[in-house]
Formats: sequence, C-alpha cells, structure tokens
Amino acid sequence: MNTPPPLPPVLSPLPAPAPDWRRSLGGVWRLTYRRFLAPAQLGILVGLLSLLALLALAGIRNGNAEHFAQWSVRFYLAFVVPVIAFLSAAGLVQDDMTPSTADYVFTRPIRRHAFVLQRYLSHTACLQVQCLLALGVLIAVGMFRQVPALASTAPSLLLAQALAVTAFSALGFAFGAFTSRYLILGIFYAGIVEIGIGNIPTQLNRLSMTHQVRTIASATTEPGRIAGAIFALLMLSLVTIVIAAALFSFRETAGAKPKDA
Amino acid sequence: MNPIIQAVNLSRFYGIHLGLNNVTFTIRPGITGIVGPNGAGKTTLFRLLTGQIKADSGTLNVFGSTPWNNPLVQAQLAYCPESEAVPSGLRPLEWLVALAMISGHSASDAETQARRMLARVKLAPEHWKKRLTMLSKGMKQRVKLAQCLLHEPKLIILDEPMNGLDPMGREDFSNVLRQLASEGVSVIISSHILHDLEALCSEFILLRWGRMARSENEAASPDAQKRWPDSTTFRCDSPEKLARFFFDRKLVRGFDIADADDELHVQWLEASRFYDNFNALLLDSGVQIYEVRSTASFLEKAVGAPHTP
Repeated sequence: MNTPPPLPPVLSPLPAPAPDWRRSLGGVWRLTYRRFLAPAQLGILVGLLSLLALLALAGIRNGNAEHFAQWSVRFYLAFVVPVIAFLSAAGLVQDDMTPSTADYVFTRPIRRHAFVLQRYLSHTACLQVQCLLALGVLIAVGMFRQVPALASTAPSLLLAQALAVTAFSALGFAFGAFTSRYLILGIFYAGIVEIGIGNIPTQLNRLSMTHQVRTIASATTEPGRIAGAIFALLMLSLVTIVIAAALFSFRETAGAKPKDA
Repeated sequence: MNPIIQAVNLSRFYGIHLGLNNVTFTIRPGITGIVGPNGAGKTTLFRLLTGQIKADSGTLNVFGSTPWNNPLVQAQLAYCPESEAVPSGLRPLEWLVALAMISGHSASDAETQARRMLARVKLAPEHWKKRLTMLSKGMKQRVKLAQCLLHEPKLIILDEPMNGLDPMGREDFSNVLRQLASEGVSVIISSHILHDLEALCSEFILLRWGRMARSENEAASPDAQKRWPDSTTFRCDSPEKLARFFFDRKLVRGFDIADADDELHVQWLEASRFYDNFNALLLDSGVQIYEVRSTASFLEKAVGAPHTP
C-alpha cells in the first residue's frame, strides 16, 4: 500500500439536506428548461416555426375569417399541436430512462412519481411558451393575410392550444412511460380514438381529445359545452399523468437491459 | 465495524443473460474495491445497490433497508456511473445546482455547494460554464465525481471513475477519495487500473461471470498479500544466462526475454522455492542483477487466478 499524501484541509460541510418537494421541483425545472434552450432545440424550434409560417401562408386565404378559423382549428390545433406535444413529452420520458438522467436523478432522494409530476409541470410550461410563439406566428400570418376579427378569435385559440398541450403532453408521458415504441402506440391511438371514435356523431366522441379541442376553439360553441370540454380535457390529463407516474414508478430505468449490465 | 451493505444469495438475470448469480457478501465502512473483467456484474451490482433495478432473488440491505426505489437509502448514497452520458444542453455548474436542489438544497445553498464541489475535484473554473458535452472525458469524470459529493452522502459508489484521467488526475481523484474516507464516508469503487485500487482500497470483492470469484476480502487479506508473486521480472546484464540457470534447476514454468530492456520475465513453478533462497540463488547464477520486481500485483494475481467459488 502506498502512503497517502498529506490531505488538503477539510471543507466545513453544509448541513446535510432533507428532501423537499418545492426544492426538487426547482431542480427539475432547471434541468427541463435548459433542454429547451440547447442550441439544437432552438434550431429545431426556429425550423418548425418557419415551416408553420410557410404552411400558413400557403393555406390561409386573404381576408377570409372563416377559412382562417377552420385552418387553425383543423390543421394547427387538432394536428400540429397534439403531435408536437405528444412526441416531445414521450421522447422526454424515454430520455429520462436513459443513463444520462436516470443515473444521476433516480439515485437521489426523490420519489419517481414526484419526479414525473414535476417533470410534467416543467415540460408543459416550457412547451406552452413554445406553442405561444407558434400561435403568434399564426396570428401574424393572419394579419398579413388581412383576416378580419382576429382579436376575437385569438382568445379561444389560445385557450384551446393551452389545453391541447396539457392533455397531449400527459398522454405522451403515459405512452412514453409504457413503451419505447410509443410512436406506434400513438398512431394506433390516433387512428382509433382521435380519428375514429372522435368523428362518430355520438356521445362517445367526447373520449377524443381533439374533439374537445375543436369544441373549445369553435366560435359557435355554447359556453356550457366549452366548460364541459375544458373539464373533460383537464380530467383526461389528470388521469393520464397519474397513469404515467404509476408506470414510471414500477419500471426499471437504466440497467434494465442486458446491454446495460 | 457494522457492515453498511449486506447481500445474501443475491441474483439478477436479464432474461437468459446472467447479471449476478447467487452472491453473498458484506461491505464494511471504508474504501472497498470491486474488481472483475468486463461483464463480471460490477455495474449490475452498482445498479442494485443504488436502487435502480430489482434483484430477482436473494436479499440486499443498504444501511439496513432495501434500496429499490427507496429515497431513504438514496438520500445517503451517491453514484458516479461508468457511462459518459451526460445531459445535453447543460453546463457543469447549472447541472450540479439542479441536482443539489433535487437532493434538497435551497437554490442558494445548491449554488454554493456546486461551486465548492467543482473546486474540490479541481475542475478549473473556466470549464464550469462550458457545455457538459463539450468537456473532455477527464473533465466529465471530475464533474461526475462532484455531483456525487453535493448532498454529503455516507456512501459513494464509483463505477470506473479513473477512466480517461491522466496520472495527475488519478492522483487528485485518489486524494479526494482518501479525504472522504478520512471524513467517514464509505466508498465503493471499481476500476480496471488495479494498481490504483490496491493503493486505495482496504477490502476487495472479486467478481467473474456474475459470481464471486474469491471469498470476501481474500485478495486483500494479509495472507494473500504475503504470497510470493507467481511472476518476477529481472533486469540484469545477461538475461539468457539467468534463464538457463533457473531452467537447469527446474524453478521455472516459462520465461520471456526482452532483449531491448535486458529484462527476463519468469513464471515460477513454485515461487517459494526461489524466494526462500533467492539470495544464494542469484549469487550462484553469476549474473549481475540490477532490478528485481514482481510482474503481477497481488490484485492482478487474484483477478487472474482460476475461479474458486
């Protein structure tokens, strides 16, 4: 055995911390929002916003409010926002099961269900900001196309978008926590529930989240139905995020496969 | 001393693949080395200890509790994985602040603690605000060690932490670990750099193919350390003459001559037959000897020895 060299002076340690929900939320928030500010992520955001602007310019007619509303609801709110929210959330959960997160976060005193909830809140908040930029682009294109009554359309679009992000992020968390093949599962879900059941003219179509989003964004919907749609989306979000937290709590993360051993 | 970790008949399989197979051991406070070739089950053991995966059978207690998904245990330990994977888009300082907050520090304490720990592992401040993915392997290792120290753990588990470090970096690293041990922190460390482990560790666990290749701590026992090395290297004026001398006396199993260095590497038939009488033998050989050294350390011997469960 070698003789140890003289040791540097011992640092006076800070008191050992106790796990704290609010502080860990702060930590998870920092881990999350920094991802959105990574150069690659910012590049993707700029690319997507540019693409949206081009599609909107090509798809929205000059001075036609009804066409603008239809395009915004059917393409943007019922397709673009759900797909981006779902893929972004599911990808994040899958990333959280890889060593770059799991080895450092899940070896700390944080309950996994608490982490999922904190991650969901942080991620959804960041995604809301990104989608706000996208909606801004859409409104800007509408102004450029001289669409009338934009000011009266924008609030319902904003509300519908916020709820779509909330609901589809939760769905992405649940599917991402369930399987690494979340994309395939998501396509099946979209085909059966959103496109299939969502377009059947019965009470069953309320199971479709895009149906609820369309209800909220539609200018002709009664206030009572809008409140019902908001409640339904929030409840669906709550149920799916609880499922995501439960799935995540019981799953092994890094090291669960032979190649990790 | 009471053990901090106890495992009884612990097994973990990945389908038909073997991770750990029926191992029983205890680990006491101090610095313990986990030694074994790639695929021996070291990382599986670490992930079981840190509560990231579940055992298929057997029992495992860390600080008296089962570690799987147990924040009470995780509050007392820290893990530095072998994998180089670090989050993209983050810088060392902000990453450590976030992890310290997850461990329960307030934002201001987390910042203080992160700076202290980055200084403690001797990562130069100009690297604190570079992106983690831009850092060299050695710098990443230092940041990974710093994140272990954030919440004053009682046990630190290090998986190949010396990979990518230059000799000075390894020495810095070893000094930090010795200081931690002197502060009462236990350390479990795996490394392929056996000489460093020998210098650091008081006890060892040897794993091979998911099993304990040696009974607990045998390699480090006084008895093991007293054993004569099976291989010896001589630097002398005439390696060929010395080889012939040993061969004529049926002392050697095999030998190898490195002409460029005037060195003779010898594998003994029975090492004690040479070492019990080495003075007289070397004088009789008539060869001028400049240096005699063991070719393999006791730990290398233990790792290379046949399996004896």
